[in-house]
Amino acid sequence: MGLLKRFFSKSPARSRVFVLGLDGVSHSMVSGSLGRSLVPNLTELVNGGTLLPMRSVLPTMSSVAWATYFTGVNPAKHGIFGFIDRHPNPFQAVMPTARDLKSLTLWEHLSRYHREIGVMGVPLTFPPKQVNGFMVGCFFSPDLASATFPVELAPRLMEMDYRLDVDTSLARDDLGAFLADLDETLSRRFLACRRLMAEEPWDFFQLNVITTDRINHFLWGPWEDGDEDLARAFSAFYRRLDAHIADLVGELPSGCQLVILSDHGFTRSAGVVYLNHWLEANGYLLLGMGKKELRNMHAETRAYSLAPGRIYINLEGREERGHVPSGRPYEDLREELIHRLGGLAHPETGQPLIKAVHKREDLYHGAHLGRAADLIIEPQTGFDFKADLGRADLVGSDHITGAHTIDDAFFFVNDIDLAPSEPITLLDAAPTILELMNLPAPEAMDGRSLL
Amino acid sequence: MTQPAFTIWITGLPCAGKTTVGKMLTQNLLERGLLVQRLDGDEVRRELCSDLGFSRADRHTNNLRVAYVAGLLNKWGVVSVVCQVTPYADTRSELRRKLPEFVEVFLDCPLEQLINRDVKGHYKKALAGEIKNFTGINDPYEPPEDPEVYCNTHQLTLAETVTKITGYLEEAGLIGPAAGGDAAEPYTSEQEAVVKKRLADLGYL
Repeated sequence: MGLLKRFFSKSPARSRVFVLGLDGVSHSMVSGSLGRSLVPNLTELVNGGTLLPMRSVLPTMSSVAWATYFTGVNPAKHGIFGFIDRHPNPFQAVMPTARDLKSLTLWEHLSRYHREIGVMGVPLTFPPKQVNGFMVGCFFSPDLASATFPVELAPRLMEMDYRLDVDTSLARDDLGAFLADLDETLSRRFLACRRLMAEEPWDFFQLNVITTDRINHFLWGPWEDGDEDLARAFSAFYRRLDAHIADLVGELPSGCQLVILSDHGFTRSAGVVYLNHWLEANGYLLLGMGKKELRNMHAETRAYSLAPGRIYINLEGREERGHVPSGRPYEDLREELIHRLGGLAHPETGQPLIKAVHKREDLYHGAHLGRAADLIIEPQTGFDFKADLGRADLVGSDHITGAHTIDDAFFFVNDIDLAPSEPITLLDAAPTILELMNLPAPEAMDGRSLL
Repeated sequence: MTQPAFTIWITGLPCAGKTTVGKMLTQNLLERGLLVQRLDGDEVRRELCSDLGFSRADRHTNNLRVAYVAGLLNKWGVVSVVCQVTPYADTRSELRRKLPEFVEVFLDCPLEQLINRDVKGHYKKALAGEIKNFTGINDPYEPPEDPEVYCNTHQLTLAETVTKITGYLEEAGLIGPAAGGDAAEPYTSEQEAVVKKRLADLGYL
């Protein structure tokens, strides 16, 4: 197996890969006429290689999607199912972090092969892992001081005024300040990246941009509507991003392979669906006395939901006050919910709200399937499922005008012609990147190399 | 009925630290009030497998015998901590199938470090051709591709290695948190509030 050989023979020329992750940027935004007007440099760049639309995961959230990307396995193997998860007994809502990952990450694989790596801002990298290189955590990091490995990196980033995320509360209160914050966060991230690229040794470098997701959430509507100021601000943001990308790509060492990808696409928000409202109104979720919180749910509750669109059966023997026996009653209830929710429509417009309701075992496979929600909703494009309690209506709207989409993330690699026989998914990215670095993809990975 | 326990199988090249980590891990688990039995490679070879050599078939049989004992212990609620080289991937796959709850811990360390470390002098002898079938030198070690816990003992201290293993066991729900509450929580309550607000502002909660 050549372990000895690996250490004592001269290693072959190392391949370097730079990955740029653009959170929430659709395939259509970097191609065609939209791409040419929004991000002209990037659109020209992606003509020099292969650009493919890529399917994301359910639920279509950055933490689940990026974890799927950097482990190359589905959620029942990596163990991340949403921004919020729950311990069933006693009931407790928890916020998963990188410590909850059950599979090895791309960074750990590369470290094991003694490749030097740098990772900046990829969701679900807090707390940062000890790797052969450095890591700067994501927006799950409470502060910069606790966001880096090694810790000595934090003061250097502070000097550059590096920002973990924008302050999105500004989007509600002060759009001008929000836009300024977006630009600062974006430019400081590229600045820090270019410095670390030049100053640190690396074989693999990944920079993630989160501001794209943020602007899409808050300015998608005004942009589509052609709002005079806000549409211009949206376009200006993307032109600046485009210039940053051009500068960065110009500084990549020769022969370095470039991969650019996103974790999900975006579209105009069609509305927010409050699933617990429906479960409560139809007698599945019963809230007891006291504060309206899931931990206070009544013992006769049969089902409840966590965002986005994850339904848990109040299963006997699993949940704190489990009510539904396992076996037939559990299966019957899942069938009933699939049937009833499948026909759920917007009370005013009659639009269907749900594309499909999936049983967990039909979506995922792996050792941690038992921790997944019992049913997972695939929304109709544009609808966002939330879990608020005490909402007066099934469907509402808020100041968030952009919504995630599952089908039009993208994957780009330069200088290589790829012609995959089947549509690609996020699972395929990590095996492909490993092969670009002349390393084997572990058999445990669910995806396949596109090379 | 006793709650069935689990097996922690520590694999890695000779001198990677399996016995040392196994001992410290056993102590840690005993202090948590668990019943624990360590099954160490050298001792098992002497007491249970003295008829076996170091051919591929014999190593496989050796590992399976230990797994059988570990499984019996698990059935009666005793955690088994196995420290054996266990060099072959197909053997480890079989162990995984045979044992009800199998936690594979891979202690990784660059071979050149191990040769430097060489506490028993075996590497030196193997490199000189005095020992045949010595894993890492003239017998293969197939590193686990997806172990439950991966530790690079060249980079982690002994204590960090043990904490990483117990951290996994806690997260997987196999053991409860250590008494007195250790610092396993990634956030303080103030920090958690900061991050939750960030997610709430995005409408993600």
